[in-house]
Amino acid sequence: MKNNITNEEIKKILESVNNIRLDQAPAQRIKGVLLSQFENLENQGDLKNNHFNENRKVSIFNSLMLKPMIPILIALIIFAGTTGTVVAAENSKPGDALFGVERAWEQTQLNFSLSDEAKAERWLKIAQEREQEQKALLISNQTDEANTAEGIASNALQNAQEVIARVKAKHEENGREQASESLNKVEHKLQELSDRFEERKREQTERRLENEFGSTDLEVEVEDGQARINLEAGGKKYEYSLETSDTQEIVDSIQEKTGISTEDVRTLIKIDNHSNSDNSSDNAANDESNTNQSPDSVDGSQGDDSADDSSQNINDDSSGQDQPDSENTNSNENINDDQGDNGTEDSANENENRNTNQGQQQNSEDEVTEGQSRD
Amino acid sequence: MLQEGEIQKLVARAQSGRSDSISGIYEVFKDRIYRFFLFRSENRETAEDLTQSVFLEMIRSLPRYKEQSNAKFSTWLFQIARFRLIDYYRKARKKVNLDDLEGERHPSLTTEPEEVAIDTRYEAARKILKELPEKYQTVIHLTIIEEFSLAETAKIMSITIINVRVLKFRALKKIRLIMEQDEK
Repeated sequence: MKNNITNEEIKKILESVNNIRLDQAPAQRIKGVLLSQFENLENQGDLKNNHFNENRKVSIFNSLMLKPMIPILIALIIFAGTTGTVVAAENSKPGDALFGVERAWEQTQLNFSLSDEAKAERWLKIAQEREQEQKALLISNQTDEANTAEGIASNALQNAQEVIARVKAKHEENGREQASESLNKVEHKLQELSDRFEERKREQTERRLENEFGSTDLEVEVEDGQARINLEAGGKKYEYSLETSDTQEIVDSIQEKTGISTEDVRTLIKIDNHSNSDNSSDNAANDESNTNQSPDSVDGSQGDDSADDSSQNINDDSSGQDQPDSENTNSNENINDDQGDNGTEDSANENENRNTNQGQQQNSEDEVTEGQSRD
Repeated sequence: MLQEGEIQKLVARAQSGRSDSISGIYEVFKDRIYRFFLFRSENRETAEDLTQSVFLEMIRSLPRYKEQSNAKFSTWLFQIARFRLIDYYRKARKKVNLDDLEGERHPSLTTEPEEVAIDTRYEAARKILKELPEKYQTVIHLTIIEEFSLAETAKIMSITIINVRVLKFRALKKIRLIMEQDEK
């Protein structure tokens, strides 16, 4: 038994393996495969990671020139997409899928309108657009959508009027009597728009009542604290007088006689006011009935004359002075001979009351408190 | 035999896309890689296929190769060969028990009658290596046949130098035992 086999002997035996060679044929075949694969990988650009960069084809996004452009390209794509949506939404109407986008865009524009004047103009524009949309929707018999448009327009109008009142209040604080020309234009357009809305509302109410009650006509003439009322509704005619010039009493009376709701009566009645003497209670009644105003809003301490540059404050010890009436607009100068025992009413009557042909006043300026906005 | 510096130049040129350098590397290492697989594979064709797979992997991995002061290029290449061998064993274990192939003569050696003396020693070496477990085979092949240092062998086998030393000691002990049994 041989126990002394050295490492050298083992090594000599094992080193004999080193004489083995790969045969020529398989060696050439493998070499061909390797070179072919090497060229394929190089052409495909798979041999990347910097070392083969001299001959490597690089993709367009790996180009140093284009790499910084990638975020810009992405931003451009997003911008184009957003702009396209907003442009597409511009002609949308209530009920359309993109109407929400249009409203959001309008709100964004409002948020970016820095001055109150700009905000008022923006609200006016919104109201005008809704008015156009309402007309189009009514033509296509989309009543619900038209009502939505009307509601939005009404809110926009109210907001615009509030903003204008706020601007005027600021002007007053600063001692400026005249509002800017642009603001006056906006106010004028708002008044026109408001009148159109009122007129349209009245026409709609007339049509509806005509279907319910037949031919309907309500006329009220107020003179010297007495109201002469001529009604035609439900095929019946009423002609009577009331010893009052209070609008609320007149409305209640008509509602009782005809069954027409007080809201509709208020929309429809035309009060011809032939006398303004001793009409403080009338005005107060009108103020209350017209604009849901709070009791504070008729407080003379508000300096309401400042809300309208055309206000004329005439305080005279003499007796009342009749003013010519206009069918559509009663520009009443309230001349008070009532001496100071009712300061609140005095101040309220100092306002120039712009009465529409429904006898409704637009005294929303009185209501405005800064920072309030209804949308 | 090229020096390591010359091999590194070949590698650098291959990394810059020179196909002739790929050929040069292949010519330097093809026989060594082939021998590494010869006793461990089912037959000569399998050893050739494994050799080819090592050089293909080398081409794909070459861009990531970085010259290291403490490791030769051959160390990196034999690491690839070792991984290929492990993959091969994993697949072959499902097909055939390699121990059953003991005694099969390699056909390429039978065609060269002038190498009879070498063939006798080769037969002894083949028998010894065949009876060793895979790790003993590898450590003996790398340290004695390829003459890698313990550190290089440890790197190729992904083990510590101490483990290499222990494995080599046990492998030699096993070889002695085999040779002694043969002499009986």
